[in-house]
Amino acid sequence: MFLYNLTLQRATGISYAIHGNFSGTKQQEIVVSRGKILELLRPDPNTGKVHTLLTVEVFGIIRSLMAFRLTGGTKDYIVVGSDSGRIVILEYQPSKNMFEKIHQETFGKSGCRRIVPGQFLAVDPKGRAVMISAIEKQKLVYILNRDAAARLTISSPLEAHKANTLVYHVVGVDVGFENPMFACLEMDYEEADNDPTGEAAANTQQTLTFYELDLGLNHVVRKYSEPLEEHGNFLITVPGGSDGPSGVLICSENYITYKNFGDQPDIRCPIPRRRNDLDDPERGMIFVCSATHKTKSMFFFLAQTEQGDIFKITLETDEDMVTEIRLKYFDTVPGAAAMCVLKTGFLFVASEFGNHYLYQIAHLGDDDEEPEFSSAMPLEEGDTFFFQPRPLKNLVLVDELDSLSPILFCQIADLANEDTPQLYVACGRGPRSSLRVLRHGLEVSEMAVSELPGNPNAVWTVRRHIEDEFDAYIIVSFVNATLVLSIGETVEEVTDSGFLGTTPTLSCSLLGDDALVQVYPDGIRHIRADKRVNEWKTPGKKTIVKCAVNQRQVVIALTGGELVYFEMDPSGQLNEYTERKEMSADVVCMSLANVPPGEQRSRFLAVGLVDNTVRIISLDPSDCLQPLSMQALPAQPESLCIVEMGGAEKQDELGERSSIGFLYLNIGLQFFCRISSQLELFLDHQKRYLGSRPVKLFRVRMQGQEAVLAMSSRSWLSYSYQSRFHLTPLSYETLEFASGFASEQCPEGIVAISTNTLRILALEKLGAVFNQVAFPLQYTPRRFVIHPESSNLIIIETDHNAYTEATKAQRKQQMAEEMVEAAGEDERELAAEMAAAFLNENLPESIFGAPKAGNGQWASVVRVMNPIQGNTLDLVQLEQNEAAFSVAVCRFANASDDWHVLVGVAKDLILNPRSVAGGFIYTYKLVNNGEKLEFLHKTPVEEVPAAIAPFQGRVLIGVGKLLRVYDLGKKKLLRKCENKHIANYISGIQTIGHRVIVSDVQESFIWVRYKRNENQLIIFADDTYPRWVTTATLLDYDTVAGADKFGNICVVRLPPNTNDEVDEDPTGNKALWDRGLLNGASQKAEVIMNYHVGETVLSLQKTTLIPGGSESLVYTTLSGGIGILVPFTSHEDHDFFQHVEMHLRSEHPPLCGRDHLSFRSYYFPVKNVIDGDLCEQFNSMEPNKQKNVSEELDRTPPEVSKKLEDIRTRYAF
Amino acid sequence: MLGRVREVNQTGSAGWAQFPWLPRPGSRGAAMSFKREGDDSGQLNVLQKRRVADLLANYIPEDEALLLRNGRYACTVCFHRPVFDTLDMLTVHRAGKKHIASLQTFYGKKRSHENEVQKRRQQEFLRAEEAGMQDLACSAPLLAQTRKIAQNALLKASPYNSCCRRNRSDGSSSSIGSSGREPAAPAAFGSAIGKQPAEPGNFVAGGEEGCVAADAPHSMRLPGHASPRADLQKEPAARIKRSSKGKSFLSAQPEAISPEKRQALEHYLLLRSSGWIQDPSGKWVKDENVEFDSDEDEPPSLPPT
Repeated sequence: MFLYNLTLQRATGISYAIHGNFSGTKQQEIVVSRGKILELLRPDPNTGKVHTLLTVEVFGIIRSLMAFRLTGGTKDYIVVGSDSGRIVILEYQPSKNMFEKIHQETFGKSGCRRIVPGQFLAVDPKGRAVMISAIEKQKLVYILNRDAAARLTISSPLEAHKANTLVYHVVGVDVGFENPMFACLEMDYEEADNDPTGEAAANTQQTLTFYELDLGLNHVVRKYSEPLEEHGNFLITVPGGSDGPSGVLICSENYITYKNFGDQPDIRCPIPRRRNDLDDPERGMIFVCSATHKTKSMFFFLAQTEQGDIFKITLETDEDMVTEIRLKYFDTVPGAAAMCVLKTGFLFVASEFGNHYLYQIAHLGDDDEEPEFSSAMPLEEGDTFFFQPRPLKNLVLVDELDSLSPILFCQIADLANEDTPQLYVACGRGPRSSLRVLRHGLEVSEMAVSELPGNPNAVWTVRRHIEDEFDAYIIVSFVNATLVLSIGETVEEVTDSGFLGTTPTLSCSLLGDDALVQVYPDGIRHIRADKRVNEWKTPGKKTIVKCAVNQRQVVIALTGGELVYFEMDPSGQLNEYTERKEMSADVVCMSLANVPPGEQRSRFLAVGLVDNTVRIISLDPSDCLQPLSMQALPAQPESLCIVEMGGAEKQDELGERSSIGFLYLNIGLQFFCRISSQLELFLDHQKRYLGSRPVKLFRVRMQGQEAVLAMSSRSWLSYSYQSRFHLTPLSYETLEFASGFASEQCPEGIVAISTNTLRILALEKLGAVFNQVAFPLQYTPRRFVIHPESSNLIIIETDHNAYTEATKAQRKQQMAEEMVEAAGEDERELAAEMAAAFLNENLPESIFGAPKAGNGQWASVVRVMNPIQGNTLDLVQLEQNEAAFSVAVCRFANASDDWHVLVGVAKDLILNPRSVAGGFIYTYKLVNNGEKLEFLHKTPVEEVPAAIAPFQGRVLIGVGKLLRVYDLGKKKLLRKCENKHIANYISGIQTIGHRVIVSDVQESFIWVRYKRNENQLIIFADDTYPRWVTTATLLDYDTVAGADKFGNICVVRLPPNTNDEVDEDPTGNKALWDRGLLNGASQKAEVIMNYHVGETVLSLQKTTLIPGGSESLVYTTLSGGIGILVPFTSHEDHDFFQHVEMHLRSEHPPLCGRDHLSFRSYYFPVKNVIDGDLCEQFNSMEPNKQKNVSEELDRTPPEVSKKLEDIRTRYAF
Repeated sequence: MLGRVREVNQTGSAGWAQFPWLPRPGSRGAAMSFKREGDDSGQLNVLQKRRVADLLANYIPEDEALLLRNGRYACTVCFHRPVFDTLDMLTVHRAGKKHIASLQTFYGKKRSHENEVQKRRQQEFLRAEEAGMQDLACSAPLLAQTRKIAQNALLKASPYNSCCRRNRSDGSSSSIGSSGREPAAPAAFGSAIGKQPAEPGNFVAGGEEGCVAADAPHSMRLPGHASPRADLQKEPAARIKRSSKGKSFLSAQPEAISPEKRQALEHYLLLRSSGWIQDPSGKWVKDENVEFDSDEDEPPSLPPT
C-alpha cells in the first residue's frame, strides 16, 4: 500500500506574528507562522480586509520569528529560528511573490533540542545584530551588515554561551547607535543542581542579564546581571536613543517593572485586576503578549493579560529617567498568541484559540473617564488596582479570519442530505468553542437582489468605453423583450441606450473602443458611440441560433449550421467575411477567445455541433474559416468557453510568449465540465461532475485574471490562485445565467439571474476550500456521536479550571452577599445596589473569558444538537468536578429498540500529580425521536472511563487500564467480563466482528478477541512500537490506522498468518517460554505506513469526500489543518510521484533549512507515503527548474501540473 | 583499509562454518555494511556467492523447522529435536552430517504417511461419490497448495508461523489446544443438551476439528488420528457450522441444524456470555466475577419457539 498525502486546508492557528514592510513599499504587512507554515498577510487599509499574499509550507517547525531592517533601509527581512539547526534570513520578493532565502547558517543539530539555538530570537532595534538562543546554555550572535552592492551580509557567529543556565526570554535593547545590547531573562541552576538538601533550589532567583556585542572587538560580553524579585515571563524593549529612555519592561506575576542601566531606579507597577472577579484572588495575573507602537514623537505599549484585557502602558520620563509607569485599561479581546500594531492604525490579534481579528484603533484611549493607574500611586505590597471590564470602546472590529484551531474532533457524514458529505468539526476552547459545519465551497456575499417582471433568460454587462473601469449597462433578455438597466448610484431602466428592446437578445458586448453590439435572432445591431445604428439582417427565413462575440469579432450561426464571420476594421465598421462556412450539423454552442493585447483578432473559434464534436476553426486571414482540429465527445456539448488562465507571470519569466500555451477550452457537457488546454492539440483534458443539469459556462474576472463560472444544479468557479487551479462550488442557490460585474461598490462581482430575480454577488474568500457555519458551544467539545436515526449530534463538552453554571451562580450570589455585608451601616443601600448590578452584569464569556476555578475543578455538559439548524435540543449539566470524557450511542440486545446514550465521567480528577476519585457511566435513554435524554441510572467505576464502544448488543468500556463488557441492567450497567492486561490507560476502542482493537495511551494498539463461549476477552496480538495513540480508525479486518500525539500517522496490519484462536491458559501450565516476550502478545502487527504530519492529529476517518470519488483517509489536526491520505491506484502513478518528490527534495529544498526527508521521519522513518504538499510546490518553482524536473520525468511542466491536479481532484477538491 | 576489514570478516565467517557450535553474531549485516571499493571480480564473486548463500539460508521448508514461541528454532527433521537460538545456527546445523542423515528417514516416513493419507482420501472420495454427495469446492488440494506456495513466496518476512500450528495438525495435543473458535461451542453444547458433563476433551476435539478442517489441504493426517474424529461424526451437534468448512472431510451428515437446535445453541451462548456457568451437574450457576441484576436469580429460560 502506498499513500499520497494532501492537505485540503492548511493549519489556521497562529504561533507567531510579526509586522513590517516586507515588500519594500510603504504597505504594512504581517508575517505569521502557523507551526510549519509561513504566511504573508496584507491588511488593506481602505477596506480593512486581510488578504493572504503568500503561503509557504516550510517542512520544519518554526520556533521563532523576527523582522529586522538594516539601518537606513526601507525593507524588512525575516529571521526564522526553526528546528533545522540553522538560522535563516528570508526576503519577500513582491515581483515573483515568493520568499527568497538570503542566508542560511548552520550552527547545530536539527530537532527541537534543549541546547540547540532557535527557540528565542532577538534583534538589535537598529538592525545591526541578531541573537539566537536556546532554552539552555547556548546563545549565538550574528552581525548583520551590507556589502558594497548593498546586499545583506551575515557574520560568523559569536558565542555567548553560559552553561547551566535556562533562558526565558531575550530581547534586543534599544541603545541607539552604541554597541548592540541584548537583555535576557535567565536562571542559573548550577547551585540548585548540586545541592542535595534542596535549599538552593528553593532560593534560586531569576536574573536579568545584559549581553553586549562589542562591534570594535567583535565579541560578546556578559555585561551585567541582576537578580529579580518576581519571576518574569517576558520582556518588552523600550525605545531608546533619540526616541525614548531605553531599557526594558519586565512582565512578571502581578507586576510590571521598568529596569535600565545606570542610576535609574526600578519602577514597579502592579497589574490591575478586574473588579468583582470570580477567579481565585490568590491566583497571580500575568501579561501574555504585547505590541509596541512608536512614532517620532511618542510611543506606547499594548499588553494583554491572560484574561484578555489589553492595557495601554506609557512611561513618564524626566530627562531620560523614567519616573512613572502608567497603565490604562484599553479594551478586552480574546486571548492572543501575538499582537501587532500597524502604522496604518490597525491592531492585528492572532488569537491563541479560534478566529483571528483585525481591529481598527479608533481611539488611543487618551481622553475618557477610564481611570489611569500609575506606579506613583501609593499601594501596600500585595495590593493592586481594580478596573471594570467593558465592551469595546477604543477598537472597532474590521475583519475576522476564520480559524478552526484547535480541532478536537471531526466526523464526516452527509447529515444534511446534500449530495456531498459535510465535515462536522468540534473546535475551539472554553467559552469560545463551536461546532462548525464545513462544506466544500466558496462563500458568496450577496450585494443586491432585485425582482424583475417575468423570468429572464440571460444577462450581460457592458462598459461604455474600453478604458472604463466599471460597467455601464446591465442587459437582461426575456423571451420576447430586452431590458436595459444603467448602473449608477442606483440601477434603473433606460431606453436611450440604442439597444433594441422588442426582441430577445442572444449576446451583446462592447465592440472596438466605444461601440456596442447586440445580436438578436433576426440580425446584428451595431451601435456607435454617437448613437448611429447599423443593422445587419439575416437572409431569408433564416434566424441566428448561436453567436460568439469579443471586442473585435462577431461570429454567428444561422439555422442549418451556416457560420457567418464579421470583423471590425480600423474605421470601426463591422464587415462580413466574403465566405460563409457550412457546418456538417447544427451548431449548439460557440466561443471566441478575448483578443490578446496588441493583436487585431483572436485566431480561434470553437464550435460545438449536434454530432457530439467540438471543432476549432481558424480565423487567421491566411486560412480563414478553415477547420484546425476536432475533438469527439461522449455527449453533446452544451456550452463552450475559451479562457486564458494562470501562467501570466510565467510568460514574462520565460521571455517568450506563446499565445496558445495557456488557453483553456472549457466544454460543458450534459453533466460534466471538460477542460482542455492547448487548443490546437486538445492535449489533455479533465472531467468533473458538476451537477444534474446541462452545464453553462461564463467568463468572469477574478483578482485580475480570467476565470470560468460553470452553472449546473450547482454553480462552480474555476480559477487560478497562488499558482494552483481551483474548481470550487459556490455555496449559493442554483443560478441560471451570469456575467461579470464591476462597479464602484463591487469591483469584482457577478451579476446573475435565478428564477425571476437579478442578483449581484461578490466572491471574497478566493482560495478557501471550505465554507463554514459555526454554532457556539459552552465548554471545550471533547467528542460527539451521531444518532443514526435522527442524525442529531450528542456532544460532550468538558473544561478544566472552570465552574458549572450552578456553581457560578452560587459564587456570584455569595460574592454579592459579601459585598453587602462588608459595607457599613450607612452604605448598605449603595452596596445592595452595587450587588444587584453585579448580579445582573453579564459580559459575554466568549470575549471576556470564563472565570478560572482553579486546579482540579471541572465542568461538563452533554448536549443534543441538530447539526443542520444548530439548535440545542437538550442540555444536561453535570455536577461540578464531573468531567465527561467519552460518549457512545448504542442499542442493547436486552432492551429492544431503544437507543441509549452512555457518557463516561471522571470524578474529582486532578491532572498533576494525577489522582482520581473514581468515575461514573451515565446511562440515558434517547426519547422523543432522538431529541431528549432521559436519565436511567449511573454506574460507579474505579477509574476514568475514557472509551466506550458498542459491541454485539452490549458495550465495551475502557475504565482506566481495564477493558470491560457491560450489559444494561435495571439499576446500573452490569459488568459481564473484564481484561486487566492493557498496559496503561485505554484511550480508544474499535471493534470489528469478534475482534476488539484497543488503543493504549502509550503502548499503541492491542488486539483483543472476545470469546462468547467462555465469556473472555483475550489479547492475541499487539504492536511493536510505543505509540501514544490519540485516535484510530479501522481500514479493514486486519488493518488499523492511528495517529499519535507527536504528529505521526501510521497504518499497522496483522500479518496474514495471524491466529486469533490463542488461549489465555487459565490453568497456568503453559510453558514459560510460550508466553511471549516481556509479557507482550505472542503475535505482532506489521507497520504498513508511517508519516509525520507535524501537527497532532486528533481525528481520522475513512470516507469519500466527493460524490463518485474514491475513499480516502481524512485527518484533522490540533492546529486546524485538514488533510487526506489517498492510495495510489497504479504502480506508474506511484513511480511518477516518487520521482517528483525525489527531484523536488533536491531542486526545491524546504525554505527554513530542514531536510524534508528527515522532517517526515521525525519519530519513525517515513514509510510508503509520498508527500503531496511537497510535490505541489512544483507549481511554485521557477520555470527553468520546473523544466529541468519535468525533463527528468520525460514530461512537460503542464503535464506534471496536470498529474498533480488529477490526483487531487480524484479524491477531493 | 576497507579491504583489510573485509578480509578479516571473511575469514571470521569461514571460521564459524567450521565450528558450528560457536554463536555467530549477525554476520550478514556486518559483511554487507561495508561499501565496496574497486572492482576486482574475484572478490566480488566471493561476496556474491556468500550473499546468495545467506539469502538461501532462510529458505527452509516450513515443516523442517519449528519456530518456538520464545523465538528459537527447533529442527524437526532430526529425531532428537535440537533447539537453536538463531536462524543462522539452524542453517549451520542443517548443513551438518547428522541432519542430512536424518533427512532421509524423515522424508521416507513422511512419504509413506502422505501415500497413506492420499489413499484414504481417495477411498473416502469414492465412498462419497457412491453416496451421491460430493462437494467439489473444497477438494482442490493442488490449488490450495499452489496458493499457499504463492503466498509464502510473496511474504517478506520468514514464513514461520509463531503459533505452532504443527502441534495441532499432529492431533496428539493436550488441553492447551485451541478451543476458543466459535465452532467449538456447539460441540460442548451438544453434550450439555444431553445433560452430560462437558468434558474438556470434547471441547478440545471440537476446536481442533475446526482448525484441521480449515487447514486440511496442507496438513498431514496420521492414520491413528482418524478414529476420534470418526467418533465425533457420530455426535450430530458436532457438525454444526462446520458444514461450510469441512464438508469434504465429513461427507455423510445432515445439511443443516434444525431451528430448535440453533435457538438452543444461541441461548447457550447468551447464557455463557452473560456470565452463567454450568457446574458439573449441568446446573446453571452465577459466575462470581460477573455482575447481575439483584432480582436475577435464575438464568432466563429458553424462549418457546
